[in-house]
Amino acid sequence: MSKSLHEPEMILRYLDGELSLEERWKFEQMMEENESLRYEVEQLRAAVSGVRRYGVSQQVATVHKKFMASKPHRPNIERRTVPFRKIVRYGMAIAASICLVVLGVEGYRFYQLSPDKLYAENYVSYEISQLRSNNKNAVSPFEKWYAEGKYASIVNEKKEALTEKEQLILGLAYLKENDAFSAIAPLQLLAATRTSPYRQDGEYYLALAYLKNKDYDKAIELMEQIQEAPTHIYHQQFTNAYIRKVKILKWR
Amino acid sequence: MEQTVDILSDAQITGNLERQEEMDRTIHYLYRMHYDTLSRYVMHNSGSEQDAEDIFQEVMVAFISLVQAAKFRGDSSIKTFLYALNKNMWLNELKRRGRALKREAAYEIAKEKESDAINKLVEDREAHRFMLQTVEELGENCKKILLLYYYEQQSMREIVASMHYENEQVVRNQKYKCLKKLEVKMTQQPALLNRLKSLLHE
Repeated sequence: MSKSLHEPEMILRYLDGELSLEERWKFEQMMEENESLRYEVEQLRAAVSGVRRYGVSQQVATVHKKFMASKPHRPNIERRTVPFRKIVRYGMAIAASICLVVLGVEGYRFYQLSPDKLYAENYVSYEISQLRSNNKNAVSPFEKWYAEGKYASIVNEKKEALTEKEQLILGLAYLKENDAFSAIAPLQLLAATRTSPYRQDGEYYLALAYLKNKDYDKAIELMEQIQEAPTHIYHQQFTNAYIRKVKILKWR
Repeated sequence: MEQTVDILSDAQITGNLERQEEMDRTIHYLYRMHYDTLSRYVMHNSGSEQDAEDIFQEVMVAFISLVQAAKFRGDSSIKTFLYALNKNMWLNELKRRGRALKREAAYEIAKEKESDAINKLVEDREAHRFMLQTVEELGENCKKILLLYYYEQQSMREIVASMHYENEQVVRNQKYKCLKKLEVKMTQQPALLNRLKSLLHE
């Protein structure tokens, strides 16, 4: 007769498959009726499973050791190779930083722009020239005052029927007196006189008067007109870059 | 002399592992075929070379145990299965370490679900790790006798001879004592032990 099925050894024999068919059947019947027996069997079954897994881990560890020993030594992958994604990421970070710096500089320059600055940047002082006058001997008071820098005298003089030269000088005097608004009228008249030898001077200073008076649309139109006329004496004064700055002022 | 190159089919691999035949050769084959690819994944996703080694070893143990428990269904190739297991184990490890996952890794986790087998293997890492640690802490004698019987499947007679016991009954008694000792140690973490027990029935 076999030992009592309650004995611990029987549990182990059951787990190890060493019971006869009849003993096994009886044992399983007992398990169904006896919760503590069932519990004990499950505990030991888990322990056996653990041992088997441990055996696998030990065997894998042995193969692992041999395999790693047979691999050629390589330096630390992290130091040696930089994943492509990291290169792209760092590259983009650098590019973004450069963009920010450029934007910052341009932003600073953008906010530094003003009509007065652009006016001063471009303004060419007009030198009264006797040569262009039809009458070499006549020097009007306007010319005399302008040469002496007495611009206030010019603007205060109530003179009608100005000559084209006097119109130009009047416009220049207003500009010198920082009165761009008043400078526009005489310069407009001059710019509209197609046959006047001072027309191109009038156009140039009119463009600057518009700029200083913040009439940006009119300033840009006239500047582009002058830039596009290679024979205009002020053609090189209004570059693309300069006109772009005036446009920026307009957008602002 | 012409060198022969081992080539094992998936069926040969699983067959060898189930029957515990040519284990070293089969495991070495798996290493040779898959280690570089799987380790690269870990190292390209915030892991060190050591991490890659550890994870691959864990993947091997999990896979072999699955095959030996006749739970590897073979729905996918071994290569596909190992790749998915490696990836998920590493992502699980990163989560365990509390490391912020890269956007790509987080996306991978949220992607279509892996098979149930892989999900379970990954989720039960802690329980298995606990089990291995518990066996490791048994004395050398207990470890040896249990491994000889339950892993190497030696007979009582062979164990008597290799361990110089008096007779088979002595071996049986010692084997039971060692297994009980292991069981008592396992009860120190009842939740993990319960998880291991439930795994046996899944």
